[in-house]
Amino acid sequence: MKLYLKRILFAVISVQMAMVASFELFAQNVTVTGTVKDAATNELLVGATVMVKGTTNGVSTDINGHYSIKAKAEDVLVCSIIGYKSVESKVGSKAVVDYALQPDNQLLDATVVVGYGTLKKTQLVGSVENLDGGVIENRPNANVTRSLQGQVAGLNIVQTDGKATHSGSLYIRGNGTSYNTRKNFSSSAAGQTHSIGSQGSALVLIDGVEGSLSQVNPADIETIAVLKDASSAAIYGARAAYGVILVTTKNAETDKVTVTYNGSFSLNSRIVKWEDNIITDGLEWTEAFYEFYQNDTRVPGSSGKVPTTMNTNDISMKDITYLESFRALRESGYDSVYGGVGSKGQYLYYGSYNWLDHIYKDYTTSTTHDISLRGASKKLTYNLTGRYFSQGGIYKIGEEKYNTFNIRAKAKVQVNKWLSVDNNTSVFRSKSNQPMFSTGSLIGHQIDQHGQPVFVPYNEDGTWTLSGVKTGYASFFEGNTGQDDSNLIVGTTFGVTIDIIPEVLKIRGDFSYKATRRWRERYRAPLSFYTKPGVPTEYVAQAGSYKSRWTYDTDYISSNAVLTWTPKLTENHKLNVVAGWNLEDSRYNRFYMQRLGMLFPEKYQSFEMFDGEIKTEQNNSDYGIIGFFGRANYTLLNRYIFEASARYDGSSKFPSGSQWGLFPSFSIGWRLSEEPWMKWADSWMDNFKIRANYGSLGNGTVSPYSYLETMDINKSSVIFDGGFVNYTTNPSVVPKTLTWETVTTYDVGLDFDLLKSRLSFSGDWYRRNTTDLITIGPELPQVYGASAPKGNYASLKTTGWELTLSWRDAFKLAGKDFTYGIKGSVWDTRTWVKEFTSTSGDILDYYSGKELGEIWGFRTDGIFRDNAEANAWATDSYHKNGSNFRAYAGDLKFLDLNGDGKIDYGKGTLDDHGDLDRIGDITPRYQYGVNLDFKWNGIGLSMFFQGVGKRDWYPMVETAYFWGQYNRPYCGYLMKTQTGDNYAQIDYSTENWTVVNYDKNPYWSRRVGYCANRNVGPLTVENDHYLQNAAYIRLKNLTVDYSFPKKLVNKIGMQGARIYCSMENLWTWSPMFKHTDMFDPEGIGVGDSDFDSTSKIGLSGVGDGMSYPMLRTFTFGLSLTF
Amino acid sequence: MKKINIILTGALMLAGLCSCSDFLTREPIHKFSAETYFSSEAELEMYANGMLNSWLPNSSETNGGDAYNDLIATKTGTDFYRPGAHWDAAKQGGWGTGDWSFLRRVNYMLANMGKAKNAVDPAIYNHYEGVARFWRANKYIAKINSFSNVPWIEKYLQPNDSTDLFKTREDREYVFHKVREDLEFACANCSADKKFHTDGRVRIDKFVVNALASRYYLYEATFRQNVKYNPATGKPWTNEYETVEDLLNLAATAAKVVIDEGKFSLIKDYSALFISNDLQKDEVIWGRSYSQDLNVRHSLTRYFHSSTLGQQYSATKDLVNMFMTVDGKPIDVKGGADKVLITDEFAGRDPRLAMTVLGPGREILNSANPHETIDFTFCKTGYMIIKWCIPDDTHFQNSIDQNSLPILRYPEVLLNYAEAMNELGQMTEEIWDQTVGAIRKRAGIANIYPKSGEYTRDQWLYEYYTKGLKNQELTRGDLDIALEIRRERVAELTFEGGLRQLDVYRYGQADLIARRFNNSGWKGLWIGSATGFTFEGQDYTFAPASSESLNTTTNYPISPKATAKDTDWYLEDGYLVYKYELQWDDKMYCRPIPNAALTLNPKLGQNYGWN
Repeated sequence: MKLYLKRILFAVISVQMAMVASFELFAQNVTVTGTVKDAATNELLVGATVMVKGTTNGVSTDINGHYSIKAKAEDVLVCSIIGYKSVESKVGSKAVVDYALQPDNQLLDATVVVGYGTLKKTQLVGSVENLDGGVIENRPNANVTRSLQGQVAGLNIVQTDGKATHSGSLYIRGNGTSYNTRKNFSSSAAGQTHSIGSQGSALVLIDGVEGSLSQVNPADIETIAVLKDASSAAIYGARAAYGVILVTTKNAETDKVTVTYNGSFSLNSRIVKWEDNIITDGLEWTEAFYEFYQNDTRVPGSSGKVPTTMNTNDISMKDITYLESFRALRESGYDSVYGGVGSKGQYLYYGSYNWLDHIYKDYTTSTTHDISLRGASKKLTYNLTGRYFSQGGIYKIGEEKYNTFNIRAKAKVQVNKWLSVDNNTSVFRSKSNQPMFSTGSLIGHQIDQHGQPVFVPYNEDGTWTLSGVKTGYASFFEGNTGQDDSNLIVGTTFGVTIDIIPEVLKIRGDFSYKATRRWRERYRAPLSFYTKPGVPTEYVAQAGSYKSRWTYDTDYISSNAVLTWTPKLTENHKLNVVAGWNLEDSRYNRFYMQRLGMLFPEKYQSFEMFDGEIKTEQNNSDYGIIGFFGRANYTLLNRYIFEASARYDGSSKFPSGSQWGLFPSFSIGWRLSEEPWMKWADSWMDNFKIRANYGSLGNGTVSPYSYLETMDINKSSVIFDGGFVNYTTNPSVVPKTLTWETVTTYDVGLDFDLLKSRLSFSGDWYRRNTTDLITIGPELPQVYGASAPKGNYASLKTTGWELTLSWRDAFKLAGKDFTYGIKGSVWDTRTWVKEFTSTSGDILDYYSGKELGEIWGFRTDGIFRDNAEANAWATDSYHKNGSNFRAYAGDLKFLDLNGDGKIDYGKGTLDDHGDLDRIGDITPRYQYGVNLDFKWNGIGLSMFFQGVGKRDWYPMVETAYFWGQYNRPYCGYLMKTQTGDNYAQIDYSTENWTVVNYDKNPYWSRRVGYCANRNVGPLTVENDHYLQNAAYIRLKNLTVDYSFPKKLVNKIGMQGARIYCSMENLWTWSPMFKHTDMFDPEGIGVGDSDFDSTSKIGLSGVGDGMSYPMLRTFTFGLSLTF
Repeated sequence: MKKINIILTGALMLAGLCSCSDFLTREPIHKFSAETYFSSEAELEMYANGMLNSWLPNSSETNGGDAYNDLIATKTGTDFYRPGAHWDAAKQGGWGTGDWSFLRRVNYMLANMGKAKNAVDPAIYNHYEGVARFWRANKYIAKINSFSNVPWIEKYLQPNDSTDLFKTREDREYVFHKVREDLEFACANCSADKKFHTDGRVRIDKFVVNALASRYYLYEATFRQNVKYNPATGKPWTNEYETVEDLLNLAATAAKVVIDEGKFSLIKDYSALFISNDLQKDEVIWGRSYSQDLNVRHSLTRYFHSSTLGQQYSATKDLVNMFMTVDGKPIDVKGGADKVLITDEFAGRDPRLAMTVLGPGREILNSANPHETIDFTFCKTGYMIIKWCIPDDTHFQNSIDQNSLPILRYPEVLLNYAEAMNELGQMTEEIWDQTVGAIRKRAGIANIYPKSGEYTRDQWLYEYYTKGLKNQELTRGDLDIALEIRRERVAELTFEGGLRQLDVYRYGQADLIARRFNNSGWKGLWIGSATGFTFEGQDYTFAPASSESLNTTTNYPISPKATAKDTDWYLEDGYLVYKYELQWDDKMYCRPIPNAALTLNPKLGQNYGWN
């Protein structure tokens, strides 16, 4: 075994040496030989390097630990190997120099940030991952959350779009517990969000104060600690149900003053260029439009339906005269988009306009400037940092801007031997403004409905067309319809640390205050369009124009007192005890004001410039939390580790009888590698640890006051006596029970470090039971008149695992250190509903046994070749195809899974789901991240791949980027991938319609309008034919950098200089690209939280993928240290 | 020593902070605590405002309810009436928690308003109790009309009130009796004080309640008279609580209160009632206001001018034929008097016809055409409905209407009174002149009392209500008077509040909905020859479609506009007919109890014929 490993090591080193050898350049005077061995075990070390100091001359030890090198007498030899401390020795007259190297357990001795303190890595028994700030420092992202994605096994970041102001939601070991479904199987109308339990995401503490990752300066971050299991998070009790992320900011280390500057410039471009993937020739689009529309009701024996008018557009498309006139104009060589006026005096258009191309820029830029000043003396340590980030918009029209400032000032004064006082103050400021369509609907969705290529935004005389207004083009262009957001967060923490007994007993007390001032303004200007020469129509009347302002103020106080006791016991006993108290108080106040009637379209910034109705609202939301916590970590004989922790929490969000909860946890760890009987493995095994723990956490993220019977005050929408009045309604139903949701986790883990910590592995398996989830109670008869009272009724079961494997090493290449590393993580998590109150078994809702995220749908077997085949198939009384409940040639062939001779959904319940089956799951599975990096002679290269191994996605109704004219025949998007042999072309000439390109296996079924849009259309309801495999792999980041030689930079008075080029989202592959090139796998979510709801799915909803596009970024940066 | 002091001080400070038990008690600033609510008149009013805000009929209810009846063509019918759609308990809605939330809302007030009793003048207190009970009655009436037998619940339900929650349905006659108690309380106690409608007539007052009560009582009386059994059970009425006569008397009494005390009148300009911004307070008893300034607008004009919004309503030939001539006489339909082109049809007719249906010469703003033309893309019969429409092209395309909407007008009360008196056998010429006669006079047509010598029965109208129908018994009073009241309800009240559909149900003649033109569809314009006509300078041509694949006898493209053959047009006897089959079965007098309701409470039981 030992020998076997040695050989592997030798093989690895030989390869390295072969590279080194080619750089041997100088002949030397003396030949020095010797052996290198481990000082502790006397084992010979293979692959240790012996270098002549200050040169590139070096050799490695062979399989017998032997080396031979030529050197001069005055040279100094340096002997080193990873995992050992280096030794230097002067050559002198010695011909034989043997080295005995002391193991360097730096990695194992490293301290790990845990809740309210640090522990040595060897003492750790929970599942905690510490991430070095360097990993995210030079990532050119607008916020830290984006950079964290894929870096930590078990940390799931749900990203839905690329907007700089948006960061993903953070979930540790799981995903959110809510998902969206269609309303039911007979209606596509606005779907429903099902949520089980109170939502929540990971608790983020920045230097101990609750905050948001998107508001931290990435350059400030020293470490990010992710506490994954209940035992490590239990000390945060009732707020830690979704895991805890601890961010520690940098402190000054040296006793000199260091100034660092880092500046970068980025080019951002959209990953998916929609405009390149759609048909924009007006005539081609129009032909497809008629085909889709006519087929809507085409049945044997009738000519089918022709469009009467194109929905809401005044260009009449009735019968095929429009198409014919378009063809005639094209043939005659007429190339203007304007076709004069029609019979009703309205403008006619014959354009080939690429709306998206006129709206989106090819690229936008962003810049970052970071500056930091650090220093330390005996009495004072200080740290001052600042950052400015700005990003431009992606719209050609309409101004979009985002910028942020960060300032952090930290100082610590050692008042006397036992007393130190510190302060940590930070300021975050962000501002963004973005254009908006008048209703807030997303522009991609507006173009889908109103931006047909045949239309243009302007009339010949420069006035707005109806399409120009309805697509949002006009309001973007005018610039006086939009949204501005501002954030100002000022936080300060005062801390006092008293060393009662130096290095044994200390107490730290701190007090933090954080003020969050957030405001949002929205404004909408009057707008008119012209469908007829000289006749303006108000789209947004002056009376309907407005300015709204929301102000959100939060005053947050937190205070901690923590006692840490680390008695100096014998070598065989180590103890670390933490006990403390925590208080939090949050007071939130929201104020809203709206005024109608913009008087001057160009002066809309002040309420003075409005003269209409004023509306105001104000409400508050306060809560308080008090917690007592403690943790004891005891290590026996350096190998048996016991840890227990507990927290007792009280929260104002619950009624007095159920305000307090106790959350305990217990862990044991066993370092097998330290057992005497494992001595044989000492030479290659540095650490082998088995961990097991159990713990419980609480989730109290319910909204405050939900247990109080209160009555809302609302303003009427009905006019009473010429104005609005206040009204109240009966109080909403209060929960029957309301207390913590409890998360209980069982976790077993294994860590090992081998080959002098070159190879490290960490793996965890866990089982988590979430009980007392707050959900709707047992259903009551409808005459109750309200949903049944909520209570702590439901429970979930989650299982998952995480594996992280890394290899790092260094060798000399041409006399310079070549360090490289590879780290890969993969993890998975699945959640099932264990108990749920509703017994209806509705498969769209929760039911006992449901896996979260499962997709129900029909199974298919391609398309029908001809009508004869369709006629002989099982009766489909469910899917409405055109105007008929049946299928024809080229339509999807649905499988009669239950063999009852018809295609239907039964009752849509678990007991009777007809031919529906579980066809997929939307939950991302097998997520992974792979980091590769090397550094040599100042040159560095790092690559980071991130991906999801398995995920299904069924594009919802209104996902026009996917369905195109299958959704609505007049949809502005006809994808290039939906033309030619990619769709079933039908020969309608005989009663037995036939697919003429059947042998080409077309992906898209017969062109029938609304078949992906009407309630029970064949494409509207989930089926496995159009289910997309949304797994992906992405080269998330590639960075190349160069650090200038120290000698050189020292000459010009600097300590370091580095230039780099960093590329984000450089390359992506996903199986779904086979069928669609309109989506980024990370941008398939619905809506944009700034405007359209992110849960509005279904007919008249928002549609997937319409949100802000994901960006690809190229960054050039410079980093200077003085 | 110093060290210890600091530690102790710190510890005391912390202990001081957490000893505050108040720290874990928080309250919202923007809500009332339910415990102490209903302590003043203002709070009663605010709560009453909430019910009105939620339940005041909106623009689509004031007209959309009339979408499915015998006289209005729509592009598509509801599946309830469609053959082959197989309506059943799975498709039926109307029994969700939202449909019953009114119970919580009203019963909460009734259960808790007692707290205000000492603080509020008894008359005011009773007024608000009346308002709450009025709403409960109003909501229950809709439930009775849909499901006939329903559970009656008058307490504020708690989740553990299983007896009430899981109770069975009560007989319709019992439920209606309880509704009557609510209505009587409201009629007697709701205030007539002008302060409740200083501007507009939106709040519930004595006259709103009495006027609606007359509608409800009359409906129930005639329904029981004409549909001879309870549709929920298939068993004859027991008359245990009220007889038909009792209900007719109640209807007449309630109507009389409005007539005698309400000081309402018929205003001069009929069309102003529907398209003016100001509510015509002299005639409108209950109405809804809109305002451009307050950005509260509706879209009725667009609703009636769009092929995508709404049901693409149009009037039928039968509707048009029910309008008399200005001399107070019916046109001779049987003699072929309706076989005229639309261009000539409006001459000499009841002026309300041209205010209800598009005729020649209607001027229209902001349009390339000076006069409005027929748009067959949404109008299926050629008779466009204009009663609620602003003659302005920009309103056709945008939801910008601000004309106020009457929900309940005085003429309905007059007609309710007239009908109740006739059914009671107490009609006199004096009453006739006060009611139907007054309405006809206001409309500008001659008033002829049906019992006078000048009167001749409209044979066509008689046959319309008897030929081929199951129930041919039109009245217990005078037949001619009954026929003329029916005519007047159509001419005066079409497209208001869904009354026509209610009427054909209570006439026991809901089979009219399916019967229409030879059981096949809606009859529209008379064209005569199949080539077309000219209207307002616009040529319309009709021709059988030429394509070989078409059934040339049933597809008539009409151009310009609407070559759409989403269903069929055909010509018969010179009439344009929009082919659309509907069905009727007597079990449809009430709807099935939805499966979702039965799942949660099987004791509810299914309605007769729907199992």
